[in-house]
Amino acid sequence: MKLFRKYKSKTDEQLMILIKDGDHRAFTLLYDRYASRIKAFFYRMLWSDSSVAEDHLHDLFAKLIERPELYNEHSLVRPWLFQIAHNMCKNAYRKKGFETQYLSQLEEGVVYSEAERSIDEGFIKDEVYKLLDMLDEERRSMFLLRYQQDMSLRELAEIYDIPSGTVKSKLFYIRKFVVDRVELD
Amino acid sequence: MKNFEKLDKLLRSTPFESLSNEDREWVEHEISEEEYKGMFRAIHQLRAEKEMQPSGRTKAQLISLIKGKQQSNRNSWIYTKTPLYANFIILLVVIPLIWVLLPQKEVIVEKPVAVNVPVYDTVLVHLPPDTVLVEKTVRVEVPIYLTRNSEPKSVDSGVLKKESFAEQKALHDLLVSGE
Repeated sequence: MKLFRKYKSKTDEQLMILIKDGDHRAFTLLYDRYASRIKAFFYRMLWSDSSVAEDHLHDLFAKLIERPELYNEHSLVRPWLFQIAHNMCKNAYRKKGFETQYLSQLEEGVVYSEAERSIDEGFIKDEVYKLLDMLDEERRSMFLLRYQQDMSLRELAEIYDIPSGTVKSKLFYIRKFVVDRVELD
Repeated sequence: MKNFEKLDKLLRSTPFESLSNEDREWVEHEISEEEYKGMFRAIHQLRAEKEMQPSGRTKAQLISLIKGKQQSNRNSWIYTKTPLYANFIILLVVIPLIWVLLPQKEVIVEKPVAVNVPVYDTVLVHLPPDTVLVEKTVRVEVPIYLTRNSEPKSVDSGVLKKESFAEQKALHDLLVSGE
């Protein structure tokens, strides 16, 4: 118990150094701190699909186990984890783009009834989904990290590898974009 | 950009109805009331789902993965990090150590050694009355076996027993003939 308390008082960065040495207790603690937040981010980034989010969460932490040397000891863990998550989403979009293109070629000439289409759309789309769907991948990710994950401007600058001023102006335009299109009751 | 920070802070913290009159006026100047309300609702819906419980199976799989890696790291340290010559040196040290520490079996070396043992014996010969009685001392070389860690064998019994009848006969002939 005493040992576990000692681990609990460690910072994310200290835990990450222990993980580099293969410490599974440190890994468990870091997982408990971030898994639920990263899953929520994946969920909204990846078409509000829970199983896709779970798969990506697994892959992210598996990557962390397989290649912990990718972590630079001078950088913060939280933005680093979300940077990996953001990059994984970019890859997922690219893959999905290829798949969609391929499927649309296969389905050329197939006509869906109006009922089938509305069931599909109603099943997956809630208000937040619609809002996020309006944004391209980078805007969506920045919007989520800022307003869902409460990331500071400095952390966002680290994730996107841009100056804080640029982050601020990007967020300004994203918010303007959202405000212009947000669905009003 | 100063406006951005103020609006950002308000949107993250205060619903339109709770804004002070001053802030409300300012917000209405920047964006409309409806836009503020819509944006506030969207942000708060997102913040409500800041966390999403992952499945326990994922966690278990990941922990077994890291434990497996830990084990393979240990093995690779033994097989790769220590150079071959280090293992060889360890063997060179350990084997003689075992050799020294193991209890030694008693080694008995037996080899024949010729030892001069003076044996004095008197042969009594019964002859006719006019015959001179001769006593002669006989010196015999007897091979004996020496064994380490054992009592030396008694010499006399062996010497006497080794005198066969033929030997005594030869001695008798010598004495009688006087040659």
